[in-house]
Amino acid sequence: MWYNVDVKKLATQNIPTILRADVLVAYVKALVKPIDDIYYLWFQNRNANIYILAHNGQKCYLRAVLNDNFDREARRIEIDDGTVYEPVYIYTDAEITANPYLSRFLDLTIYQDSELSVTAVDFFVRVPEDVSYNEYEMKYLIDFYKLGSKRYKRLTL
Amino acid sequence: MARTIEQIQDTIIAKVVSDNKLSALTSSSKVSIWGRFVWCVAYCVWTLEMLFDTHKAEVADALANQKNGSLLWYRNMMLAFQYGFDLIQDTDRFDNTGHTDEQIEASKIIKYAAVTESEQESRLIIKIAGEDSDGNLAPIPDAQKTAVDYYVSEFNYAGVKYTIINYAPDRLQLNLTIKIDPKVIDLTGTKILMSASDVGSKPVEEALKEFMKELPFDGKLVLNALIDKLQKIEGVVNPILNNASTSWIDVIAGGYAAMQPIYGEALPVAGYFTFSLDNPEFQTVINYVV
Repeated sequence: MWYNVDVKKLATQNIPTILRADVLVAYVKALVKPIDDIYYLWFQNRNANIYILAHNGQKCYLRAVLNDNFDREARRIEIDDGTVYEPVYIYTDAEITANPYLSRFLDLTIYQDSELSVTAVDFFVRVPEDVSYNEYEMKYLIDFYKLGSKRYKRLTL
Repeated sequence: MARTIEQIQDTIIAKVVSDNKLSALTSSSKVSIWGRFVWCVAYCVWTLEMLFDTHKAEVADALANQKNGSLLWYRNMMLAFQYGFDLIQDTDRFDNTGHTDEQIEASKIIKYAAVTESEQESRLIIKIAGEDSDGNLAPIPDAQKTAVDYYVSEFNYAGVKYTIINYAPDRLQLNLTIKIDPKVIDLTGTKILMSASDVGSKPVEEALKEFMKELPFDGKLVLNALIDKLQKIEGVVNPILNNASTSWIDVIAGGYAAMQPIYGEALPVAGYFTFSLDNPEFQTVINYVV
């Protein structure tokens, strides 16, 4: 591709064939060494730029970023929207005795704060237990790519 | 902007010439050894500058094409859905390798899409419709809808709440009294003066059908516009809209809800309307009077 350049080879090729003695070739290679260094820095930089531009907060791309960074081979990190439940007020026994209609509230499921629609997060990042990662690095990556205002929670499976 | 090789070369040579310590380098021959070295270095610098330029253009291009998650973008993504094709892993694009343009075109089953924001909460309302074999708007069949659901959940921005509406069309029931010119249209609504191409045609009914087709997807039905349309028909003296009502799919109860009267204008819940001249549940009645 156009971005793959071997600077040393390029310089050597520009020496006329009759001058291509070992000493001269080595000298020319030394001359272009700083250029080669800059090229290498640029090459790294370009890859990073292109990667950032190609990824965003869309579910498929955010998942790709996390998997590229933390679970490159198995790609098990997942993102899902999670189920959101409406909060239910818990009545005291006295209230329920006073109003038998409320007895239907005796049978309750306990949800986490993050699952309720009032305090809910907008998406979950599910990370398998055996994927090791740096918490701050992951937080940085998700915050970098995700849409503003969307809250999330990390879950270990 | 990259310099040319000659410009770079001149910069180096100018430096050499101005430096007394290098006064021994006098040869101006193109093949002099020191000139050759200058050329080598200049060539590498030029290559590097070209790379920078290309990369700059590449980034600018990528930025311009960045997906912004706007309503329009969501709509375009819906229309780009291809039934039966697999997504390239971890992207929102379909893998079209080895398929003809016709196959790709045929797999795009979502013909109409409209994306709006919910008024009550932070949520996108995505209305979609396909076409049946006659080219009329119709909901996407259940089996294909499952694929659509998966596709949306993949390309959606993480955390954005959405509802896909793929209902049967809203029913529209009209009750019209048409005052006609009996010289042109008879009391059954049939055109009297017939040419070979429109034997037995009923201009009012045709205008109604045409009007429904012209209505944009998820567009407002304006009753006055309908009257205007009828007014233009030759032989119609005065179209009177006695009553217009609509009903839409009630998701919780299942089936159509009760008919609701339309006052002036109505936005279809499913995105589009249907009307019928013979289904007793929502029959449109047209009375012709002189």
